[in-house]
Amino acid sequence: MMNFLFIMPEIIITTSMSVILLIDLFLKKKNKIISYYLIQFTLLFLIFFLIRNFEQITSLNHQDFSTDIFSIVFKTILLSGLIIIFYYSYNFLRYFKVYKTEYFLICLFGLLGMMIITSAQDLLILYLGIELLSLSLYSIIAYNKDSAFSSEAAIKYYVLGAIASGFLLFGISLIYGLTGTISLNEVFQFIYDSGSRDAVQNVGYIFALTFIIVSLGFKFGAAPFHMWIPDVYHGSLLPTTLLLSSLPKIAVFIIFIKLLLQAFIGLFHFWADMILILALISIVIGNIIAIVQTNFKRMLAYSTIANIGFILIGISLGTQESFTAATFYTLSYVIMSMAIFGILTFITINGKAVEEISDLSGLNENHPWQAFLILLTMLSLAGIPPLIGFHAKLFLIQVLVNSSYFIIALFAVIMTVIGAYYYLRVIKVIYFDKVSTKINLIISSLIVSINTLLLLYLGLFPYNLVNLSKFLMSGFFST
Amino acid sequence: MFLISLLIIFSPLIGSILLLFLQNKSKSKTTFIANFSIAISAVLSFALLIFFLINPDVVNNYKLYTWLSTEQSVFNISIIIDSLSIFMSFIVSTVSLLVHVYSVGYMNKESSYNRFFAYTTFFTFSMLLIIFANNFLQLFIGWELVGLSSYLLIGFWTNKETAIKANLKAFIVNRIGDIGLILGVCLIFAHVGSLDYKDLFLSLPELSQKTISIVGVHVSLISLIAFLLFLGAAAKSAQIPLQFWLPDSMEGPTPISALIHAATMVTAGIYMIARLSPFFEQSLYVLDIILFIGCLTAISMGLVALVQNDIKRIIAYSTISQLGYMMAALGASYYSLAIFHLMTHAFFKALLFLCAGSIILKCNHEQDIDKISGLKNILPITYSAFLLASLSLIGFPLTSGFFSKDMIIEALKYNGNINSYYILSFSIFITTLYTLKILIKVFFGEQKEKASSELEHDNPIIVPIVLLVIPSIFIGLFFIGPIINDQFFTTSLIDTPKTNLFYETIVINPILFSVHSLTSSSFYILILGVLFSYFFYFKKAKFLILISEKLSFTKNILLSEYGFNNLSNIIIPHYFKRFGNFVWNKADKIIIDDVFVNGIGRIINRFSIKIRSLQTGFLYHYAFTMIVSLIIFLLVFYDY
Repeated sequence: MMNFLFIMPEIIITTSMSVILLIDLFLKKKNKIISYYLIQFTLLFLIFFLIRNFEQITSLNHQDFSTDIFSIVFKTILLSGLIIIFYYSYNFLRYFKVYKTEYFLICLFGLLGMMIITSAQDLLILYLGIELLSLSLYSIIAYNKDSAFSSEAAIKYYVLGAIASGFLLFGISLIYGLTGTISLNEVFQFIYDSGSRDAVQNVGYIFALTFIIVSLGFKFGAAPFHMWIPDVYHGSLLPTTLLLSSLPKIAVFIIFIKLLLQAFIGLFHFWADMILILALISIVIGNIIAIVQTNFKRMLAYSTIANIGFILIGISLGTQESFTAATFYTLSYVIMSMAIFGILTFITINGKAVEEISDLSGLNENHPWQAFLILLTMLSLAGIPPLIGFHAKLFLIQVLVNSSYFIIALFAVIMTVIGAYYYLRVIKVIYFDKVSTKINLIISSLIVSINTLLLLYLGLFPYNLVNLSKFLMSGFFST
Repeated sequence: MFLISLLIIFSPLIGSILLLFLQNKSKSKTTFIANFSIAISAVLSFALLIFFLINPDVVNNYKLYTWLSTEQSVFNISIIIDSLSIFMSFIVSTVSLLVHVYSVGYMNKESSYNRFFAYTTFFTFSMLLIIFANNFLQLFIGWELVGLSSYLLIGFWTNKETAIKANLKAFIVNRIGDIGLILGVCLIFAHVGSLDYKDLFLSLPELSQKTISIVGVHVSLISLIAFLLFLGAAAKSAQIPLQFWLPDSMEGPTPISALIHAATMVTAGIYMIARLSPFFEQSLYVLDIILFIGCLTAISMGLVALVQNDIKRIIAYSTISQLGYMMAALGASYYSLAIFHLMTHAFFKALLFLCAGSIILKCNHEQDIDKISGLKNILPITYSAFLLASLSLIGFPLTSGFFSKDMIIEALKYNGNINSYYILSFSIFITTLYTLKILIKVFFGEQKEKASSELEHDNPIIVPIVLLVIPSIFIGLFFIGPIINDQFFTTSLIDTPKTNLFYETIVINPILFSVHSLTSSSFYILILGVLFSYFFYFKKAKFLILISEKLSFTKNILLSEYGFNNLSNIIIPHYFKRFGNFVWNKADKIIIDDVFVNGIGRIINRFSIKIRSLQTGFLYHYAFTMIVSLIIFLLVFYDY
């Protein structure tokens, strides 16, 4: 009798999704809130389940589907992130009367994909997870049916995503051809054992790596494969942007860890420079184009690209220190991103959602607390102490300096300064411009305040998050 | 203990945050939050002091948490609780509480009532942060934050031009000091590898061997660091040549002058040097510089006070002069005497300012003492408080000021610093002159103001004044024994044996010291000063005019503050402007504007246009870019 406990979270999600979908059919429109609560309850239950059965699950390590501490911790992070995102999204969607339970169910499919990614030990299972995540993202981007932007963005993302998936699959097939296996650990072992390789084999590995990295770069949103990001951020609803900018970034980061660190660490010399080039181009393009943006979501889209560049710098160095810094950066970036989009979902401008930066002018006059929250997130994104963004950038730059990449460290610092410009411009608009619009808040901002103050708290006490990142990465470097 | 000290520090911060974000329009709520949060600090500080006097073994460093750790070093956020920090927090929070109560009355008609209290509570928090810091990191954070709150409060009346100029000046001058401070801190970090005071003290033997080469000249490392730190202290504590911001800072509201620019912030420099006493003790050169600067400041700024007419400016120059006394005491290694004088000065100088505020309020914001007179009958309580505070300032026997100041002077004599002894003794004469000048001109003579039906001010103004009289007069008498003789500062300052020896030979006990002082030169100088001012200001005003005509040259020098006024208001701004214009025309306009800013702007614009032409929105362009990038990647890495 096989023990299914190790895949139980995924099974619970799938069954509860189906059940909720059925229940929802029979609910009247005003009772849809029940299915929302059911979904939230499912997620909470899952977190509880994971924590409760932690020891048992981690002991059942399956060969293709690992349930080690790494994946359980990331699953818990993803689940708790999604609860908060659903909370923000629900209020927004209800307010604009576009709420349908299916929206959250599709998101749950995405979550399922991400959970599969965290556990995958096999290139094909990994690919399945990625596709599940991507497919659900395509459909929630298209969710805003009335908007031409939304459909356009979804089509673009879909077609480009299909190309990227094709690249990924092609890369995986090359790897299979070269090594004869699709298990991550076996690929690692094969590369490790094969020792010196001839030129043809090298070209094969390089081609495979290039295809895989280009594809992952696309999923991550790294320049020059970033072009979908501004359109998609701009075109979709705020909750969708909120989701896109946060949890999938963690998932793609995990893919990077799984592939580059777990499987291809033997090919470090080949992929390090590729990632570094992606990182530098992303930082330049993200920071420079963000300066001229007037749309808040587009500005944040370019800011995402720049931040991804920073994460990629951490990945490209390939040391334990640098991966720890990158993990720290990813986690803190996700918290920041959830905070800023969370705040935006709570604010309406003349009865509409926030679009332009100038929509928020003079926010401080009537809503000083919300203005302060935006101030905190912007300062944190700009990397100003004592907020978490400062530590994230500091650790990365420290790693660069310790590895003697002085020029790149200098470059990162200069780019951070350029980046500070457009973040500070938002603060200027909020605090010093005249009120021009009627700004209302959808509901009280307790949760989002906690989320934002977390930036300050973690900035003052960064050690829990640092230790978590160290702990998560230690498993890959112990052997 | 740990919790109590945390509450002392953070209760004002919480008050400040509440005030900032609630933005409440009701004054009573603001009043409550501000005063309550400070009152918690004050009461707990007092409790801590009592507790310490009963049981002096509570000295400890409490680690709050690790803020940051790198391979080389660990930065902890911790709190130091020892006699010095307890003593200082008692002074700061007590004065702060009384000033807050006073401000309730003084600022009552202001529209930005809420903002004022948000700033003052924030200031109190920053000052307490400096006091409880046990490392340079926290010290520096607090140091900058008090500078910031001082800047905000000097320019509190944002539409008063002089105030805006003054706060800018204060900020810039303090920046010079901050450069010194941060350079010193960086040097310490570079050579000790830690920012904790404790680690610095432990590595002193090692440091004293080191020298550092500046442009080929070898300088002892400790002296260099000590000098740089002293630069920071001199700017904050308004010592020559960085003193000229303090008189201008009087443009701020009077309670601020009392709290920040007399009692607390300006003493941060004194506090820092005392706190680092084991370190400064290693560098006799710098101690000599400190002694010299202290004496120079004490006498020269006292002289400037003589020719001023603005009541607040006179008291401000007097503050600088008194800070000079403290510096001199530090320079002669009598750290605990400096701290003792710091305390008495905080009380009586705050009282003087509060009285000045009461006068200014009564006279419709007239601050020129030539235009005010005969207030004795209108403001009887203010008059008596001012009189008592003045007695304390000039050091009349048995008052607080007498004990702290005369102790410093006697200690210098005992220590053999005869020149300093003469200078500071003579300075008593000047202090007496300008203090009595205010007293006589303002309270005596012909009554110009009409006595209104309400004789004095409301309770919030009167109560703090009356309460401050008590420490201004008596605290010296009560504390001199316990503080100086009973080894109160043993654990925090290193001058205890030296000071005790002095105490046992010269002072013996407070009453004997007072009796002894009746025969000392400083008492005769004091009497001389009183007589002189009686004749000058009270009896024969004409004689004074004659003198000032004869000595108009000297007077002008003093009025221009030995040229510092010109230097800071005209010469430096002029040359800086010329230099700035030059830089602006040549460097800024051509190189930075045209090449860098506009140039980069143009490049970025072109760049964005180029990229925008890629970001067409057409799907096939996007796909094309992706595939081309892939091919480029393949080509670049093909034979890697």
